[in-house]
Amino acid sequence: MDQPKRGGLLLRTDDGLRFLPASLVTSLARLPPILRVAGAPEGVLGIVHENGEIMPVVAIGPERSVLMVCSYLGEPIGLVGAQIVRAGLFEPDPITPEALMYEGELARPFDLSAIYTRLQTSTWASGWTS
Amino acid sequence: MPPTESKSRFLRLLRRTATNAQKHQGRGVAEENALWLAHEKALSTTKATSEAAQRIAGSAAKQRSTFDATAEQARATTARTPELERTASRVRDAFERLGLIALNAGLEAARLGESAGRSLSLVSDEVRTLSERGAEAVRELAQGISDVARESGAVAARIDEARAQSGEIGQDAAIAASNALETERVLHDIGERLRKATGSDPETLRSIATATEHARQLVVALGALSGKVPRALLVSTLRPVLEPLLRVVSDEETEADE
Repeated sequence: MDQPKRGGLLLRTDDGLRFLPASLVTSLARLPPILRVAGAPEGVLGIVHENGEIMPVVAIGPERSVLMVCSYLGEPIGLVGAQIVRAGLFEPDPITPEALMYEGELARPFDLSAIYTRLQTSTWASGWTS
Repeated sequence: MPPTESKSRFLRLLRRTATNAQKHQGRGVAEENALWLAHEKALSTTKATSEAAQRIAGSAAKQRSTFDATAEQARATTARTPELERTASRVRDAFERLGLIALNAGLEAARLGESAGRSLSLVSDEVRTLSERGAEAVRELAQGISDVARESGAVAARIDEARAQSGEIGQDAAIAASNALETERVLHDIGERLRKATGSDPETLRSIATATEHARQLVVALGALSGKVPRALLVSTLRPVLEPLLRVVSDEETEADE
């Protein structure tokens, strides 16, 4: 039996093609001004105010034009840096069901949980010690 | 005077007149005539040079004003570039926003599911493709605007160079015209001095040359008639026409002999 199509975003990152499920992506917006935060964990560019919410912005590549507003366990997370290939419904890969096949290229799932975990466990303002 | 003696004296005088005229022509008169001819030629050439130089100076001035207008147009084109670039930037921005809207619509279609979201997904893909093409076209347009601005700037600079060269040509032409006028004045002066030194003028010398040529042709014609026409007939025909001339020549000869 054919597996149902999966909806979400296809991203091009330094690690190759990645898939972010639509359930984790709230919206896409032009990157608003980023407020830098001293002592933020590595990869965190700062915080932004988007659509009434304040969220950390994590860089996943060199692009700086589009903000992907994601939500993980109810927490908003902003991602920037990836090239967005397409949004829509995609065929899952028959061999590795968690991945997609797009135009002959395998798109593995984007690990948003790792980013969330890093944000939660990293020490902010680590430069400030008592 | 017996008629025979009269006839031979007439012919003798005629030959002598022609010979003297030829000799006279061959010496000072010819030299003076050549001198006056050269003087006239130099004068007319100088005048033509002066007029040509003035025309060149005038053309160079017109050319400079044309160059000024063209350079101004090129600079105006360059000056419009920032405005065109701003417009292109606004269009590019609009296409980028449209692309984001299409992506958000695609996400929404994905949330709706395969059957409910199919139409929205198709529209989203189509809009995104078109917005990407539009953005790409605007990028090329902006590049073209930038290239045109650079080229217009270069054209204006080259026109300025050409204008400067035209200015130099105009100045040189003005100098040439002034020199030609001065040369013309000097040639007039030389003419006056030549007139005083030789006591002749071009008009007189031309008349002498014409008279001499006519005399020579008369001698040649008489030579051709020699032996063919009875001398008595020839003399009686020519005498009424040439007698006044012969009288003048005879008086001159007598004065010269004395």
